[in-house]
Amino acid sequence: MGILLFKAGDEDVTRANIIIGDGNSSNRRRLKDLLTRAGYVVEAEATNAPELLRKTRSMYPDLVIMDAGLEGGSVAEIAGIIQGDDISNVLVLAQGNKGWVPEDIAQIQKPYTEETILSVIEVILVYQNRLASSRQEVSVLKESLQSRKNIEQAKGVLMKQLGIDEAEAYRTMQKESMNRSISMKDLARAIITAYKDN
Amino acid sequence: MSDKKKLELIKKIKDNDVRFLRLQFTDIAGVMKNLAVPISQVEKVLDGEIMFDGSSINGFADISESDMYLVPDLDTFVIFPWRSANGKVARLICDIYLPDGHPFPGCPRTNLKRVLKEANDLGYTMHVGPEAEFFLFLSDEKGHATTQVQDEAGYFDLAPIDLGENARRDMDTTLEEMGFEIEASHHEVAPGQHEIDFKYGDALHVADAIMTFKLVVRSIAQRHGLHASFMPKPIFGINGSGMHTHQSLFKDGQNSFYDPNGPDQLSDTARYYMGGILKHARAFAAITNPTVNSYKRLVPGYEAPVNIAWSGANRSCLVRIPAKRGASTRVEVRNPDPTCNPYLALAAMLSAGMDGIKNKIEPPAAVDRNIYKMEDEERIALGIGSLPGNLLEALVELEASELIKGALGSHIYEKFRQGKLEEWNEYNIQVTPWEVSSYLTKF
Repeated sequence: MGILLFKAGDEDVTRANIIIGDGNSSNRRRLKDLLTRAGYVVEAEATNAPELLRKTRSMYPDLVIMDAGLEGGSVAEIAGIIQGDDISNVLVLAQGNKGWVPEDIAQIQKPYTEETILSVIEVILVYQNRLASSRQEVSVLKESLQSRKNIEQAKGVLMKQLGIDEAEAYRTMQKESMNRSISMKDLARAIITAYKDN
Repeated sequence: MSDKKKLELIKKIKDNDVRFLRLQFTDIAGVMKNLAVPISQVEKVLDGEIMFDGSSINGFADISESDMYLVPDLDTFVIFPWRSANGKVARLICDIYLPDGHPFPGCPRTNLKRVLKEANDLGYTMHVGPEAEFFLFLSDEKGHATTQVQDEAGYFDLAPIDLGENARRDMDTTLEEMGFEIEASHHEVAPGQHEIDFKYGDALHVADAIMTFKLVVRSIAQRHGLHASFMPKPIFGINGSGMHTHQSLFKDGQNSFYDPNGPDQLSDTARYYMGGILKHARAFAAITNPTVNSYKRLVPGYEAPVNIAWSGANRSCLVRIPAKRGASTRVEVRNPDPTCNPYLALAAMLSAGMDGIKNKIEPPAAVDRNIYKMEDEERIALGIGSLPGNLLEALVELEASELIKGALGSHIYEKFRQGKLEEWNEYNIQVTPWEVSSYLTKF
């Protein structure tokens, strides 16, 4: 997934990749026209659910727009797979009550106006972006939290094994890390592993 | 069933927000059956109080004895790692009991336990390592399976992406998350054909694992817009799918097939076991190769065994002894295919092997030449028999074998025979495209 720089309300739409899943060819053509005019790239079209899954898994688009009447699988299930496996976001085009979709999947009712669908797409992409960067931040934070834990633990191991105080243990690790050109994090893990059984 | 274990399970279910329990068992035909129970029923499930109508399951019971109970094996609890629209789902594999508290004689899992216990009374524990092959086909616009293979379909312009490989990788990770230890996972000989091998284990656990494995492979394939099929020979002219079954017997924690001083470093136990397998192969074929289609795989030329012989390396033989020795010493029986009911197949093969051990059946000499290339007279001179040519022949052989019938128990055997004869007769009255194209204009 490319880095998209959206802000809600921006007129400059970065080219996001979209896959359309709809069994009706004139619906597909109309939607594709609309999306292309708005600056999006329609990467692929699928006429049924298995095909949509295959194409989505091969291309990892930024968004999948699927019609609730798509054949070859339940809409809720297919949308759930695509979002659940973190392949892409899904927007379902619903008609009446056909095809129940869980709440965490975006949907709009047909018929929709051009303005409606375009602004919904924009909102989805913006939030997707924010979500992606928050996720990234969370994983960075998790990683550094884990490193700190490991360094503390390794320090404890050295203090016990070598009978030295905390400052000295830390200093020893710093020196080793520089001498061996490995990060404190990796060194800490190595120390923990080496003394695990003792 | 200890209360501690139950409480642990209930905690796990709560912590993971599991919404549904799937109670699984395998019918005589080898098809996994499911009873989905909402989590509010968990206490009843764990106490073995869930009832179902056995007469609605093919080949299980008559209407007069239809009430049956599902008693879960708590060690089989696992949460499915994939998400579904209804929240998380966990499963338990169950044994089937009658209302009077006795195990149901038509339950293949209970039957395997019985046969394993007989071997256990002589000190032996059976270890099994299966190698199941399958095809990944494209699903069509209705979500139904086709026999169109993805790798050859030329379907995508994005050349480097192989949907099958992706799906298989996903299967590997899912299986690993469910506690499987994957030993090998690779593309097989035919286009669209794959194989995933998991680590050997005790027979009951492996039979459960084979059933779980098939479910996972199918479910993940579906999530990739593909259809996984374990049909033995889905396409004429290319290799079919087998399930080579590696077997060994352990005694006092040691592999009893290994003897550093024996011929080929094999123990007498190993040779006799193999002798039993070779002797009874024609009789257990109906169990290890139970469909009409199974026998279309067992033809010369496609790495599937036809001839009843053994060898060290020769893959045209029924039994192969892989080169590894020590704790890994084992016999590989190459005819089973993944349509077999693993509980019945392991019970039948173990009984055949144990008969070899009890009666000290010497196997014939090893055949290290490609049997496919031998002339008939030569094969007859060497005393190399062949597997049954079709399901009917296999059923006749089974009927004549008290040993293998005994391994199934009379209830399972009777239902199996009825079901399979029906299957054969239904097949036999079909007019196939081959017949039409061969005879229509000729006569």
